Amino acid sequence: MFKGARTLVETCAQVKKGENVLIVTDTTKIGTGIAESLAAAAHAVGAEAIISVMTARQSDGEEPPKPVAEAMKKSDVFFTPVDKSITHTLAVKEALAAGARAIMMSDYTGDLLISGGIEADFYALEPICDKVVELFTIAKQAELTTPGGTRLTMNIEGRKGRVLRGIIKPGEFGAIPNIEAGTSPIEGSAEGIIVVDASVPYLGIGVVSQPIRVTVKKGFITEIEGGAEARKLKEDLAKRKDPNVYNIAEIALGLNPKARLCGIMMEDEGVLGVAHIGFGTNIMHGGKIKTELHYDLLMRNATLKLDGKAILENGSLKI
Amino acid sequence: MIRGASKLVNINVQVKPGEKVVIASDFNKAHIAKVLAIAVLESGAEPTVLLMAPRQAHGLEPPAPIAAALAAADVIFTPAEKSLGQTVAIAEARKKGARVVILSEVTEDLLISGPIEADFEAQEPLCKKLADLLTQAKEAKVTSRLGTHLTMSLVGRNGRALSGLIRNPGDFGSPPNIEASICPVEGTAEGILVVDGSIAGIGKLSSPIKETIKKGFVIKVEGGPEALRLQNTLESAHDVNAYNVAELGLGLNPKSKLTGFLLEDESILGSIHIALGTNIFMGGKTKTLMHIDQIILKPTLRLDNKMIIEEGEIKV
Repeated sequence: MFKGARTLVETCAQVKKGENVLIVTDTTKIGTGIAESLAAAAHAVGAEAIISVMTARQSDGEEPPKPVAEAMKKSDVFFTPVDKSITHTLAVKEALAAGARAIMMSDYTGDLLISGGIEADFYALEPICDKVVELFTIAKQAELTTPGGTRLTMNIEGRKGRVLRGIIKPGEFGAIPNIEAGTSPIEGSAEGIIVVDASVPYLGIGVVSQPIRVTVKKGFITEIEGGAEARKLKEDLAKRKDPNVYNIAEIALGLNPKARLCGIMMEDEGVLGVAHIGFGTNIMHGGKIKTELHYDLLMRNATLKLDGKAILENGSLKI
Repeated sequence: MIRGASKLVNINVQVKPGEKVVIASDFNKAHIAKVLAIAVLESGAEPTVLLMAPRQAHGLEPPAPIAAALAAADVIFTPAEKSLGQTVAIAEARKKGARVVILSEVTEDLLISGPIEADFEAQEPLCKKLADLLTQAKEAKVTSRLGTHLTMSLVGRNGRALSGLIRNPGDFGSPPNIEASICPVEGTAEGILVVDGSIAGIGKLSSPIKETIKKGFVIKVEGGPEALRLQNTLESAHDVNAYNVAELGLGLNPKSKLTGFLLEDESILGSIHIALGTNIFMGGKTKTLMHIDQIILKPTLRLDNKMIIEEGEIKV
């Protein structure tokens, strides 16, 4: 794990000697070696490494305790190997506003520090990230198709592209090994069929054992069909009793050639050639909907056309 | 260990449900931080454990993120290798109302048996009374069978009661240490001090150390191998203030025995300690790199000629 921790510390977060590096972890993740490896890697470059341990949060988006939030604001860099995501919290927002560089590591496992996406050449990925995010920003129309049967169109005009990079700048966060670029389609505009044949990295589903067929009309999911995994997803959404959980919230492409499908969100969404459609909340992706969840549907060997021009064709980048 | 930790949390500090408790520790003391966190969780409060690289010396500031976390805490425990007691970070947190338990050099043993088993509430009245007597006194005189004969002025200085009970906002202590203490006026200590118990950072003494004190400063240290170590430590400060007679403290924990461990030794009932170096954090005027407690067993202490301790027995 130490090699991967060094990559995160030295390459991705660009930690310098004397910087305050805070590792925000919780009672479920301390002892797994992730926080410890990061602290050792930060210490090795001469930074001041601090591990902060809180009780595991009850749900995604729950604020950390105030002392942790205050510590985050005073750190130059922070990492968050925690169980439930704290990415979309006030604490993170304020720490980033104060200029911190962050690497979000919710639901992380030691494996992610050993092989796969962590082995990417993150410097080489930077210009690709820049290019793809720009293409999303200028495009008006997106069309996603896959050999599995996906055919979804949506309006993305006026929405800014969004990128999760491998090399983090002050005030930004990353979710390495997830390197992705995408945007949030205009609400109500998505139409078509999504056939999920890669992964749903939520609800314990992971890599799907049989395809899930999702019908989308006027920007909302109207039908979910398939096997046991489809039913699990459908039932979870039904019990939220909020139509906005069905909102098509995001379209994005994985850009990490070393990432491989394993059922963990941070790795799966980064896989080059895999596209994902997020649904539910889109406020952090540039949209207007806030609801209690944001899930993603992942498809293999995607083809994405922006204004009729393919930028990804059967899983290969065409830029 | 959980029993001792629970006692600190529930009796000494009376942590309440929902309070934000910061346990500021380091990579060498994480196991103790964990036990404290479990006790805090059981009390219904919210623990946050912070681990840093051990500081190089007592009194060095923690990194800025930890200082910020301390400032947001209701209760602070510091099971750390080196004491955070005399830092700006802790002083600021206390100003904001935090209750602070300093646990430097704390070991597992300390949370299992010995001084932690004391009845802290029972000792509190004596602790407060002795602190008052120290406040009122103009002069202290320490003597002992081993040849100590030391006088010092206490005029205008306030005694402090560290009862080990840390229940009100801004309270501070190092349980299981129970002591009443004061800073003598700088420049006034005169005489001979024979240290026969232990010395912070050095441990139990194999033979007594004789110190000659003039105008408030130690000018001569004599004795065995530990005397040499003490001399070397004092010299390493490269500052005459390291030799300053900084504190007179009275140990008040009936369960403490001489172990070489400072928090226990300085609280031995009937012992006193005379510290050298910094005293600015206890009401004095001297700030240097160190504060070295030296424990004297079975002393006789008079305040304005009134007998307070007679050969290790408290007469109050």
